[in-house]
Amino acid sequence: MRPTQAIEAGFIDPVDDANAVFRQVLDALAHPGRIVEIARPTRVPRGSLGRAAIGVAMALADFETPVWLDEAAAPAASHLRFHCNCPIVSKPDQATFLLAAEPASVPALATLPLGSDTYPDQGATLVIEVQALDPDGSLSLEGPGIDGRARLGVAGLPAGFWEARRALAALFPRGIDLLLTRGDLLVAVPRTSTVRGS
Amino acid sequence: MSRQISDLSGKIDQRRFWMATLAKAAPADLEQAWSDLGLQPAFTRLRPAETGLVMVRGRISGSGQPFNLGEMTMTRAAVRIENGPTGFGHVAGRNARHAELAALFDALLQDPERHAALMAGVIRPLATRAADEKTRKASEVAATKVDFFTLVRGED
Repeated sequence: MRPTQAIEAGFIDPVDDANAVFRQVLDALAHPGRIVEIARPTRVPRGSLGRAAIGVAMALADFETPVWLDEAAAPAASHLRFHCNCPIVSKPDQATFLLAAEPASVPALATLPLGSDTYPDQGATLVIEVQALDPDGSLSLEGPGIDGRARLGVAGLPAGFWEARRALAALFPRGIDLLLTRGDLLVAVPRTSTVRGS
Repeated sequence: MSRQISDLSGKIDQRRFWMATLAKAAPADLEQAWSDLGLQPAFTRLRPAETGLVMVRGRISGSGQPFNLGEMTMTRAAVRIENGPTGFGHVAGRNARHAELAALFDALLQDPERHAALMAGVIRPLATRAADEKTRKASEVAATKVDFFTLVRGED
């Protein structure tokens, strides 16, 4: 297979579409647990990443942000390299963005870049394509951006994922930001949110 | 071409040659060559033509320290022929159609069935024309050449 064949057309209007996706991701991060629909990128390369995950990468990744892809998402590598100019790294601890099409392949959260107390922004952003997102599930979110408490259901994450995330809370402001996607849908769980349940 | 170029560097040189020829050709010539071909291949614009700046770097005498000469405007495009290869076009200036045509020709030239005909029918004539134009300009400039003679002043 020619490596360039996995490249698909990107945003129709690169500037407006990237801006729109950026704005949607910003909204999602400002309202943890709220499911937003991201429908801007027109084509998605083969692999199991949906439009929301690819859109996030295309809007946010550039030559300064190394991207890690799990095995299931690997076919998207040349697409992302072409459109974002981003380096694709094989070691998760070197990445700024981690895209996982298969939730079980997500590396142990504590091994990912968490930033430092001086530069917490250097913590990684983890994008996981999950099996289902439900606005009324068993998880309960609290924290900045949430009026009281928000409910969220996520299907497909490996057992122990939320415990591992809770273990990082003590390191705040260090940590990782989570973007969970399912097709065109995206929900953000930034490090400021406290998640109860599993 | 009787010699079979099988090694990668030969292929890269070859492609470099046709991409350079396409990039330096006059847009009107390319447009003419395109309509003469009469091809209407279905294609996807992977990267619609976009204009930006690139830094041109140089080395004094070709071997000195590299330095930034300045930025130049360029336009690039990438297309994929339906079920075929991907072509890239990088041209100086802001002519979007020129970049797209260069990318389309680049894609078609990678198709083994069309390669020979396109090389003979499009690329060689364009290269010959560019070489002729260069010779003409060089001879025009050569007529105004001034030789400076410096007298030895006998400093020792």
